[in-house]
Amino acid sequence: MQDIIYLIFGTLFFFMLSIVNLGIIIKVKAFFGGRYGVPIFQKMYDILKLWQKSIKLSQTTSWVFFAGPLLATIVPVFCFLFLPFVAFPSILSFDGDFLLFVYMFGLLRFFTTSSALDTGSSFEGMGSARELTFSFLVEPIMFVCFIILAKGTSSLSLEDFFGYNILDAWSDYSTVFGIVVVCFFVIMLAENSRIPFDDPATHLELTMTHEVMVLDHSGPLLASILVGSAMKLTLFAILIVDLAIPFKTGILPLDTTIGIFAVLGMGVVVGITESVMARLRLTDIKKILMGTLIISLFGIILISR
Amino acid sequence: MNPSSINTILLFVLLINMFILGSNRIITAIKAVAIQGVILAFLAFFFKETTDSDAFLFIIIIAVKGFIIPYLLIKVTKMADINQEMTPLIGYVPTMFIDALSVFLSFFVASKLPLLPAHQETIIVPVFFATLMSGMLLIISRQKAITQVVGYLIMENGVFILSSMLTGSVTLLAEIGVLLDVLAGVFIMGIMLNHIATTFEKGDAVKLTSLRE
Repeated sequence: MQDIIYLIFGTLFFFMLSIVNLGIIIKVKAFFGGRYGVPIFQKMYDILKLWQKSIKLSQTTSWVFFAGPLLATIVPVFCFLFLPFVAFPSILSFDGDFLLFVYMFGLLRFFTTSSALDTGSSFEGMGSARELTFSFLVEPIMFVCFIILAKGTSSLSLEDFFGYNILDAWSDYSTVFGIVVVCFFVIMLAENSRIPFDDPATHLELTMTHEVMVLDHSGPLLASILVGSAMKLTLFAILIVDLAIPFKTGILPLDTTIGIFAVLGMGVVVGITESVMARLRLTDIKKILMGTLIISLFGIILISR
Repeated sequence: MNPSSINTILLFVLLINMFILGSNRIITAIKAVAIQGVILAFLAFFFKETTDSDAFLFIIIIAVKGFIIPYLLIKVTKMADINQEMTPLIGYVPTMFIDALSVFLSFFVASKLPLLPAHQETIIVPVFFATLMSGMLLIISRQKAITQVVGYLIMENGVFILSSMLTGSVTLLAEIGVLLDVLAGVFIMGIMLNHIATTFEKGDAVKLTSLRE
């Protein structure tokens, strides 16, 4: 019974944190643009509004079209169960769960692109191709980073990566773990299609990557995709915070407060990055991701010698 | 002797190598080499107790590598009106991959060498090999004459890494001598580039083969 309450409150907390996080990114971008910006809970209102609308369907669609938005919401919540939040241990945990963590996103990507292709629109095919190209470069980086964490903390589950011996691992391999933090930040921006890689606010089909895949989703389907993308961003922010703040005070409320502010701080950092950087050219994205992969491979060399 | 901070500095050196091989503008590469030289100047403080001569060397290195050489090179680039594009013979991403392979190779080679235990803790020897190879790779894979000067400077930085490992009274004299050589080399190369630019267009090293007496 206690586990179920823990699960429900964890999920609700995660949901609210993601909405606020996205709101803060939008606020920071508005501040840099000299505007006041929409309220922090605007995404929440958008989602409620979309939830009340009806669904418009193309004649070519099948059940695959519904699988994408469904998994977009389910996968981040499911992955959150494996991730500890600062002092709170993870809800589910077993040896090797980081593989599941990486490949749940693979599953999500498969169904997002499939449901985009299912509409029969040529723009969505283009968006899917780009999304798959980027993520096929991102996946090995994520994998290599997790291998570094596994070696550094000599454990095999996400809970133990960020558990009791992360502090020792930081003092032993501070350089390598610094590399991993940088790599995770690049992964966060690339996976969530934030600005240097893709502009979430653009509405020109030729330059869109992630947004073009959800053009044909309407009403509740679009709402679930919005929720999913906010949660995915926050999931990666939590991953970075867990790694970058290895010390714990031992007082649960204090730790949790620090964790929440750190996650929202990641939102500020993302907002600043988006404000000061221009979008990269498509060919440059490939170069940056290759470079990040090579940097993470340096990390493996350094940690295994 | 502080292995962790030395390794961090050397890792930055490796990343700058990678950045130069991936960048497509000449002035960016020149500035990156200058930053690499300045970062390496800090290396001397982590090896032993610092003396007055170390501080002297530190100032000279920062002045020469951080300011004089990049100033000369950027001035030459602008005077000879060289196009900013790198014009690679091998593409940027393949070059970066070859560099990554050379880093792996140098770590492998260094693990086979009979080093002192004190030197095995740090990554000085593999980074020395890797930096040397990055410099050579830049010289081989880029067409313009000015990028060859940049590659030569990277190689000099590599030699500096190794020489800083062998600390002793000789270091000051030897390093100042090397710096003088590098400065003279860059100076001569600058004058040469200017003449090449007036004879041929755009300082293209490939066209040097068509020189006749």
